[in-house]
Amino acid sequence: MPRVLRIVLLTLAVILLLYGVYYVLGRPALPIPAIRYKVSQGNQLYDLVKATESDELRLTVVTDGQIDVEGDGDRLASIQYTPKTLGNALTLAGNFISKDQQEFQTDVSKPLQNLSSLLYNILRFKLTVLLIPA
Amino acid sequence: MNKFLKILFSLLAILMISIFAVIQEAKVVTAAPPAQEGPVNQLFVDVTYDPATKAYSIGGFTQEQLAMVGVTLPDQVLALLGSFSQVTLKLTGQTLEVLADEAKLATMEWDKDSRSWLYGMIDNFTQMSPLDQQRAELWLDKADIQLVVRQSTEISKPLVIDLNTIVNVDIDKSGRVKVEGFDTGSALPASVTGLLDTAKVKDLTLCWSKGVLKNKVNGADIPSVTVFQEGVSVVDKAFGLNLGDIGQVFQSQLGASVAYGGGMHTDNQCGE
Repeated sequence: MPRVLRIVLLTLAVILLLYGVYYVLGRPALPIPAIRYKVSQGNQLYDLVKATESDELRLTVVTDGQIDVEGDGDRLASIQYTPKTLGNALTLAGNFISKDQQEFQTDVSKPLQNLSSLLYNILRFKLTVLLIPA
Repeated sequence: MNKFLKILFSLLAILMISIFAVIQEAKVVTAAPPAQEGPVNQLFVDVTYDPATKAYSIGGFTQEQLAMVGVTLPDQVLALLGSFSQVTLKLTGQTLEVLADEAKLATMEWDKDSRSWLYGMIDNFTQMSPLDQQRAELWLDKADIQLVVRQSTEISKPLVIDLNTIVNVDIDKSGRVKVEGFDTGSALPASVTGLLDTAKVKDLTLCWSKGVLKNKVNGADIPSVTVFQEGVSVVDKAFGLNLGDIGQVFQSQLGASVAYGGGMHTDNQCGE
């Protein structure tokens, strides 16, 4: 067997094994470093951030279908989604955003649905955005 | 077989066994929910009215808060409220009682025959469209309802709502709201009907259960939202809404099937 083919097959097998371990562990969300986003006065989010004792709102998106908003250590609200419900919401949003539904479906909705489906079913990430006053 | 293939097959075998083990473990048997007993629809509504200022409060909400969501009481209803210092309508299991100013005004057996008689009376002596008896039975067959209307300057007591039957709401293009076929006399603001038109909404199902809001738009599920009391407090503080005590709202269960602009009611119940 040629050496290149052996390396490719072995690499694929290692990737499959690593993914197998990841799958067996229950596909935990892989954390991405938190992003700090400064909200300036005049923005409605600014009033929300200032309404917390800590002057900080934490938005956590876990691609297994959970979006959490936390403040002062408490959960304030959360959204639960599946790729299907997210797709339905995007279709609804398309009515507000675009006049051409077909174009919106092809250019925005479908790619976003495919991406969310990939991140929901295959490889999950956890993204945290910290909203702080500017 | 050379060493390389042995390693490759070993890795794949480990992977297959692991995935098989996880799939086997993931098979969960869901037990059937226990049969429901007792009243299905529980409702307590307290209404206060001050004839001097014509100010009213329903279910712990002030007149201003109710107006913000498009709920206003017409003058005829306010005149009726001013006629008594207190009226209580109490429906508990098999008995319906009406009390006016603490005195028992009427008591009625609340079985199928008496309900049929009542539906006939309503149809014969009111100007309203004929009562949908099938819908009425869904609501009233198993119900624990208490409605208290009293003259007072204080804010009414918080609502207690635990309804398993979904409320049918019809909204026409001008925003007029009918609940279970009855014209409420209230209307949605043009900004809200404009949103519904833009979103091409024909029917909505809204299900609130102790902080969890599950919705369907045009028959399609959209992401569910869980609201926590601390979250509402932050929004209240940020925008100065003065919502007051809303703890009871987080103990409530309520669902509505909203048909807009001639749309159809697609759901009869909340949940799966």
